[in-house]
Amino acid sequence: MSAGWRSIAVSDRLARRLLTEASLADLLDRAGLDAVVLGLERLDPRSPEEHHLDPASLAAVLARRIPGTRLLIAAANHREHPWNLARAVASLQTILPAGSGLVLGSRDLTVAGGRPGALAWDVRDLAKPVDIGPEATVETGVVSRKLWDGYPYDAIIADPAAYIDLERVHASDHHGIYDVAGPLPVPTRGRPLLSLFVPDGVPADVPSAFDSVTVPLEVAGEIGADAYGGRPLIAYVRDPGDLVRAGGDGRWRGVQALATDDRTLLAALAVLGRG
Amino acid sequence: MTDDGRRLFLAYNLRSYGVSPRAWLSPGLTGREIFTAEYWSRTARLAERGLFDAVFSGDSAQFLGFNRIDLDGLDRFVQWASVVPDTERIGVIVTASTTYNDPYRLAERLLSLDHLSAGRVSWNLVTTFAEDAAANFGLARHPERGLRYRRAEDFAEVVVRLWDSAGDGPEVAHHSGHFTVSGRLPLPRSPQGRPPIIRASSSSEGRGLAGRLASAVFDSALTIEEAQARYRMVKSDARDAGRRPADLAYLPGVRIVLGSTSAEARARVDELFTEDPITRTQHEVWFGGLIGVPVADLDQERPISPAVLEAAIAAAEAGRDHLRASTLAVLAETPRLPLSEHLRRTRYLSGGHGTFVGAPEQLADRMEHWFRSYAADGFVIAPDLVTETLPILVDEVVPLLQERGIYKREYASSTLAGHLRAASGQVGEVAA
Repeated sequence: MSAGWRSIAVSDRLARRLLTEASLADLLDRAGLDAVVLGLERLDPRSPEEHHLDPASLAAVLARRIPGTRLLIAAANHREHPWNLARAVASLQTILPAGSGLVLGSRDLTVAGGRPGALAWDVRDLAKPVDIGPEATVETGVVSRKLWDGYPYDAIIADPAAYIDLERVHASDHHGIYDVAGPLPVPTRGRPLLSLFVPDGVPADVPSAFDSVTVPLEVAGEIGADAYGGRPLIAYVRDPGDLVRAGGDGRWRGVQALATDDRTLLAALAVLGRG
Repeated sequence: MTDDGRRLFLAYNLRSYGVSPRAWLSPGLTGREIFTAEYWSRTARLAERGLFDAVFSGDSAQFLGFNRIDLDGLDRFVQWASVVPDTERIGVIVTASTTYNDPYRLAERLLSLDHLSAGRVSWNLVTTFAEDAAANFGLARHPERGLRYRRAEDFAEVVVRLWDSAGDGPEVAHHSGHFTVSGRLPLPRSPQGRPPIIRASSSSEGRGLAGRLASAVFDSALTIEEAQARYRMVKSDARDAGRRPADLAYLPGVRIVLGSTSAEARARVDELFTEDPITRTQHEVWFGGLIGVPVADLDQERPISPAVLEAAIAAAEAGRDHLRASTLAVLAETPRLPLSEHLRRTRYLSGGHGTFVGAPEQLADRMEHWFRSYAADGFVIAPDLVTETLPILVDEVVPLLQERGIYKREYASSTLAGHLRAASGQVGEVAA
C-alpha cells in the first residue's frame, strides 16, 4: 500500500455505533488515518441509508470518541449558502483537536425539492437565486477558502487594549455567482481541508482553493492525472475488496474507503490502517 | 411551587464570557476559551449540576470584530453539540435566523441535534436585527421589519411541518411566495414530538406566531409592572390560538452582577467603571437622559438643581415612565449630594438595562417576587461574568429558591419540552 492519502467515509448508521461502542471508536482512532468523512452518503447516488444526521453536529459529538482523527463533513451548496457552510467548517476546524474540512459536492440527494432555477440558494426577491451546478459549487469552495483565510486564529490576541487584532482580519468581498462580504464571526485555527466530490467523474478546472478532488473508483477509469487542473485525485472506493488495487494506481494521491457497518470498517482498516 | 403547581424555569445565557465588556479579561481566563469545546462543556455541566433547565446563547450572521461583548461566533450547532456528550438533562437553546437560513436545512439541523441530544433542543427563532449580515448573503440591504416577520411566519410553518414529516409523517408540499419545499425529513420523529420553539421577543409582529407555535417567549422587561402586562398578553395570545396559557411560558431576561455579598457585587461594578471609559461614558449618557440634561452641561461637583429634577419628574409622569419617575424620586431624596455622587450610586441601580447588582438572597427575593406576581414563569439569566457567576447561582441561589418551594430539587424529565411542562405545573412527557 502506498503512503498516500487514506481516509474512510463512515455512514450515519456506523457513526451512531461509534458513539456507543468505545472499543470500535478506539480502533478507528488508533488507525492513523488522514481523515474520517461524515455524511458522504448525501452526495453519493448509490447510498442505501435511510436516515441522515447533520454531519456538522455529528462531527462535534463524535470527536469526543475519535479525538486524534481529523473529521471532515460532506455537504453541498444545495439549500445552503456558502457563508453558513464555511462558518460550520471553520467552527469544527477550530474546536476539534485534530481539525476538520469539507468534502463539497453539488447535489445533496437527501433534501426536499425546491424551486427550479434556485435550488442552491433561494431567497426570492431579496437576492439573486443560485441554481445547483459545478460552477456554483467550485465558487462555494473558493469563497469558503477566502473566508477561512480571512480571519486566522492568531488574530485573537486577547489583549487588554483589544480582543482582536483587526489588521490581521480581511473581508472576502467576493463577487460572482455569490456575493459574500465576510469575514466570518469565528476565526479558523489552522487549515481546513477541502475536497471537491465529483460523482460522475466529468473533468473540470478546479482552483487551488481545493486540496484534492474525490472521484468514485468506477467512473475514474479514463481520467488522467491532470483531469482537474492538477489537483490531487482521491479514489472513492465503496467495496473494501477494491482498496488494494486502487491504492496501487499511480494516478491517485490516495484512497477513501466507504464503511457502513463493523464488517466493512474492519475490512477497510485492515488495508488502510497503520495501527 | 405556587398554588397552581408552577415552578421557575431557568436558562443560563452564555453570551461569550458574559455581558461585561471586560468579561474576557477575568483572572483565570486566557480569553481563548470560547473557541474550545471544553469551555462550553464544563459550563453546561455545572449548570446541569444546578438543575438549570437550559443553556442559551444568541447569534448573528456577521463578523463580530467591532462588538465589545459578543466575541464568540461559533456555529451554534457545533457549539451546543460539543456539550451533548458530557450532559444528560440540561436543554440547549439554539438561536437561528429565519432571514439567513433555508427552512429545510434549518429544520434538518435542529432535528439532528435533537436526536443526538435525546430530545434536549429548542429553537430560539430570530429574524436578525443587525444589518451587517445582509452583505454576507448577497442581499443589497437587510430586509425591512415587516418583510422579515412575514418570512418568519412562513418559515416557522415549514419547519414545523417538516418536523412532523419525519418518521414517515405526511410529506410537505409547500409553495408560497417565500419558500418551495416538497418532501420530508429523512430522520425519525423527535423524542419531544417537536423541538420547542422560543420566540425571541414579545414584539407585536411575532405575537401570532408565538401564540400558535411557540412554547416560550423571551423578553426584556425593566419593571415588574411592564412584565406583568406582557405576561398577560402572552397568555392571551396562547388562548387566542386555542392553546392553554400554561403552554406558552413568559421568560424575561435578567442581567446580573452577582457576588457572594453585596459589597463584592458593587466592587465589580466599580472596577468596570474605573477600567472602562466607554462604560463611564454610556452611564453618563443614560444619566443625562434620566434628568433631561446632558451631564457635560453640568458641574459634577455641585448638586443637581431642584428645577432640573422637578422638570424631569414631571416629564416622566406625563410619559407614564414609572421606572424613570421612581429613579428620579430616589435622587430627589438627597438634594445636597453632588452630581458625581449621584453618578456613582446609580451605577448599581440599572444603567438603563434592568441589571441586578447584589447578593444571592436579594436575587432570590427578586426572582420570587416576579414569579409569584405573575410577571415571569422563569428567567434567562445573563451574568456580567459567566464563569465567576455560575458557581454562586448553583451553590447559593438555587438552594434558596428550592427552600422557598419555587424550584425543583431534581429533574422530572429528560427532554427540554418536559422541563417546560414540568415548570408550568403539567406532568408527564410529551408523546412523540
